[in-house]
Amino acid sequence: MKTEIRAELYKARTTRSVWWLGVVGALSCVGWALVAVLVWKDSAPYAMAAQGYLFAMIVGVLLVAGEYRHQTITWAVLVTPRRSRVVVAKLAACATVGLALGLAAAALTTVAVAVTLSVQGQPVFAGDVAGALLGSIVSTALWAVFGGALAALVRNQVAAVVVAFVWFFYAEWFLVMLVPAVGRWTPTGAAKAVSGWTRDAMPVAGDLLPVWLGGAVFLAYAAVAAALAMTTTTRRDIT
Amino acid sequence: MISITGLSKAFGPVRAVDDLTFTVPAGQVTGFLGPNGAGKTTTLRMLLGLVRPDAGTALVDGRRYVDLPAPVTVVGAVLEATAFHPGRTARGHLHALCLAAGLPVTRVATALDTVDLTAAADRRVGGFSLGMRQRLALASALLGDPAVLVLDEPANGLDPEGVHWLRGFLRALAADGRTVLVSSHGLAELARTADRVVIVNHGRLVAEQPVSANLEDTYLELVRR
Repeated sequence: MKTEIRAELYKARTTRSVWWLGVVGALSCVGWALVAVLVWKDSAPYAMAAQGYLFAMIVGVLLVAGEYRHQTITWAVLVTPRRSRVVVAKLAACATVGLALGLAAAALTTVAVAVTLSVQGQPVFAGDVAGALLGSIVSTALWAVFGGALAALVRNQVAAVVVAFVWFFYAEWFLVMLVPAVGRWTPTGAAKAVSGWTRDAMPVAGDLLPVWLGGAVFLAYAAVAAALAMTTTTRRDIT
Repeated sequence: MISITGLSKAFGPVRAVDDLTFTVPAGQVTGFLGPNGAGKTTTLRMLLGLVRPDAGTALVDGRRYVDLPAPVTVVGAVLEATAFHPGRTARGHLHALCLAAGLPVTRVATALDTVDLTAAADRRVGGFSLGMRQRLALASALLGDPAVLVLDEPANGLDPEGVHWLRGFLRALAADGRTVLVSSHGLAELARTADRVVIVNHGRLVAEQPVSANLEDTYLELVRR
């Protein structure tokens, strides 16, 4: 398995779109962090390091669905005929790439927030900064795994992005608006528990899940998608 | 050695491969012929574990491809010339395959050299001609130094020099005791390269015989029946 994961990481490293999505994702965190400090006077601006999540998810989609799009899945399966191994290696690579993106976003956000706060003459590290950054990094990695698992199931790159878009920007909102009690258990609700993201209009009834449970629930969504993929999609003929 | 036994596959109502049985011995080049849609590619894909047969078996040295512990060191395959990530370099593509297969990455330079692609090794595959992609596919198949080669239309897009080179290359592989199965529509070329031919039509075996002097006439007569 180690060899397959190394290969997947090499492929990720040599895919340009992964790099630019990562850069844009990390910079978007900086943008939100500046807004949080300068406009909202937010008490927890470091949590903005989690705002690259959509980019992390799309990177996960690209890493898996890209193989179908370019038909390179044939090579992957010729080398590793047990296809579930290919899926697991890819998801491990997604986690690693997501972690790297999360780290970069956390580092840039920290610099941006700390510099801005100190220029304003405010206390620089107030509150649970380490917790916010750690939560952001872990949630970013989880989002990449989620994207990869979704893509393993859907296979088509554009379809996977559209499915995610419709779910996260429409379906999930409608669901949580209508039944606020489920808000803490949806993918976004679970991910928010990890990232500590609070500024959102989505009405989640009651508190978010504890961090560990949120992470487990979010990972479980990815695991279900991956398991479904292994029993359906990846068993299909590659023609 | 490859043995195909009672192999069948239907796509909806179409019986792409229908109770096909033949063998491909080591030390020879075996041509795999048939009209478009005769089931050649489906047969090769079943042999390589990419397509699941409805019935029958396709074995390499007595084992299914998916049961081989290190398949690329046993079987090298060239399937579609277009199946590369356009943004990756030729060297990068081979490097990733080596890593996944647990092969020493020094094999990359050797394989590039074998197919005469070293000069273009660090260019992105998106800018490659069909012939260059075909050479890269061949290099990919050779990475694991396999004893069995399965090639689907490997001469596609090669220039005359490339075709000449491929012929010598396949002959040398067979002389080395390897098993070579080549599908092709180039009958004149195959008549010069292959020792024997397997001809299929409508998914069924039509002939399995040594290459005759007049392959084109034989072929046309057999597939018109």
